[in-house]
Amino acid sequence: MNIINIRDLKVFYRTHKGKLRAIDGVKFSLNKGESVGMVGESGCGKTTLALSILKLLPPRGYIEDGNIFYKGEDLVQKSEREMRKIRGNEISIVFQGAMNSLNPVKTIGEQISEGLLLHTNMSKVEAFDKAKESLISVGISPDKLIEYPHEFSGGMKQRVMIASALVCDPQLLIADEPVTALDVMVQAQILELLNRLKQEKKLSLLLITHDLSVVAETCDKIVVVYGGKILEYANIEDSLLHPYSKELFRSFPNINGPRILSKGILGTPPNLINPSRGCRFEPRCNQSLKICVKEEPRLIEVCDQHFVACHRLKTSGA
Amino acid sequence: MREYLIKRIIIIILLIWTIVTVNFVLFRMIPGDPVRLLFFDPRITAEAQKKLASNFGLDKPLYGQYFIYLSNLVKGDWGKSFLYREPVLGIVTKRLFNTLILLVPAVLLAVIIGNLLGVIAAWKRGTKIDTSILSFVLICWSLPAFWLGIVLIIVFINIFPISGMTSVGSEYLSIFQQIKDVLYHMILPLVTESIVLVGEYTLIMRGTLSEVLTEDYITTAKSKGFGDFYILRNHAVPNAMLPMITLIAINFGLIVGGAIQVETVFSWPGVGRLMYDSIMTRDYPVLQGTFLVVAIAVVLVNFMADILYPYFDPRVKLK
Repeated sequence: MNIINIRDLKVFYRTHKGKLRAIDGVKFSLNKGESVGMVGESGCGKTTLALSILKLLPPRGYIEDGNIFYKGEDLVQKSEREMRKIRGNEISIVFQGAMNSLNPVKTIGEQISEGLLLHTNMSKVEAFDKAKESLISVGISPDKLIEYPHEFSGGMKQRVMIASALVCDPQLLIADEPVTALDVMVQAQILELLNRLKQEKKLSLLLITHDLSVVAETCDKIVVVYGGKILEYANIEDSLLHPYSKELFRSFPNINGPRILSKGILGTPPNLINPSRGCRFEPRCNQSLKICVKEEPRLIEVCDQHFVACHRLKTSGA
Repeated sequence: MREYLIKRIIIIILLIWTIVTVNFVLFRMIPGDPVRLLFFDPRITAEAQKKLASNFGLDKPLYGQYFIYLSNLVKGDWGKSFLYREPVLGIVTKRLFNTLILLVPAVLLAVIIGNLLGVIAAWKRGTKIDTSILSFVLICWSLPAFWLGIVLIIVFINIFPISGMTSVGSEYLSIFQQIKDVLYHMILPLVTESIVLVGEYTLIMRGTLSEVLTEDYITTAKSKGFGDFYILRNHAVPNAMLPMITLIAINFGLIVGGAIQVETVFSWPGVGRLMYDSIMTRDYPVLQGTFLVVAIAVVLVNFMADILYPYFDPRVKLK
């Protein structure tokens, strides 16, 4: 069963140069209990997509078109008041950079339990007990509940954010770069934690990152986004087929390979204000065809549950 | 904490002692001989003059006079006013009381209204409401207090009393009647001072709050499902209040100094007016006493603000 089903979503930002098409016709779905990793360069719309699902876009951003179905109901049509009942309660988000995501003058306990006080009928004492449980589940001692964020390390703050996002037992967790800027040991701890919670609580997870190894470790599926579009959507075991996905993969150093620096992908992400008519990746693609300039490739299913948007695959038959 | 308090109190004592010393030196540096200034009368014999000088300790060397000054201060003898022929300490305390009656409500009003306007402006930032509030407070802030006072006097001359603390020659049947009369006299100076002060608080609140509203923890609160009002009240405003505490503490020092302009325009018998009159009449002992009171008040209020700060911001620890 789909928990999230996004159909032809378009999210634009108003800028003084014109509309910036941050998300331009994205279509994908996420099943219950499944975890999807979303990868792509910075500025390609990953965070915008996460914010659109919760309708927390900054004032300049707006949903131009499309639907976001959550358990069959369209979130795009919902009012702010209805959205508030969903945020934190059914869909939670862990933001990038936990350093600033906690209020510096409130205790950790207050900040974890406030969501419970809003969404449930719990008393303050009950909410605090639940917050304690939640803190233990992310591996932090419950005595820390009365401490302030500045008394925590970066990794601990990130775990507090996860505890606070999960305290109301949501159905879906969106984690936006949950391990970026943390050291490798803490990264491993947090990913392990996410894996465990996924199994224990049957949580669906949308993990946004630009680190492919993180996706490989935690996710069932991978979505590759580029320039506001999905280029590839595959099971984690499948080998990626889109030229961009391959290049992305190649940018990662191989532990058994030669000690050379990856060349990266030449060029910069596309201009999203006046995008080209053809494939968004065409200018940087080393396998482009004539048709790539003129016509935008559609997402096609190349094999079971594996979608790719590339003209080359259509012509060569994958 | 205890260690911190002891350290701070020692520093405060040293600070006040320095103020007293500067205060002493400052007035000795003023040209002119106080004996001649005080008893300039050709009929007073040289012998009588000498006797008078020794009565005031003026025949002693400067350091001797300094120690007399210090010990008298501690004993509560702050000298006698040239003009009123009354002990300085009594005059200053009475005037300080009058000033506080007027300025504490004026500042409280300005703080409350200013913060409210600031919160609304920051919340509705970029809208017409924001622009209107901003223009209004900028105009208020730019108004000179004496000019605004005069305008209010012209407008309300037939409605409210425009001068003094009480009606001239009035006798009161009860204390309540007296309080009522004082309150009635307070209206115009209070409104004037509040209007002049409100801009600063509004601008500071608007500035800090708009910055706080862009912080990540505000987005976090939104993502938990909270509405605007809850977020403002629980996450944004408490954090934006922190610079306000410092500002209020600094302004409290200014309050004690009195609002010279408003007190002069409305003939309010406060510290500001006293300072103004003492300068005009060269009433040095009173001036010296007022300086001291104002300086001590500033030191003490700032000390209080420092002590209170950790209760508002847990990141600050007293060491």
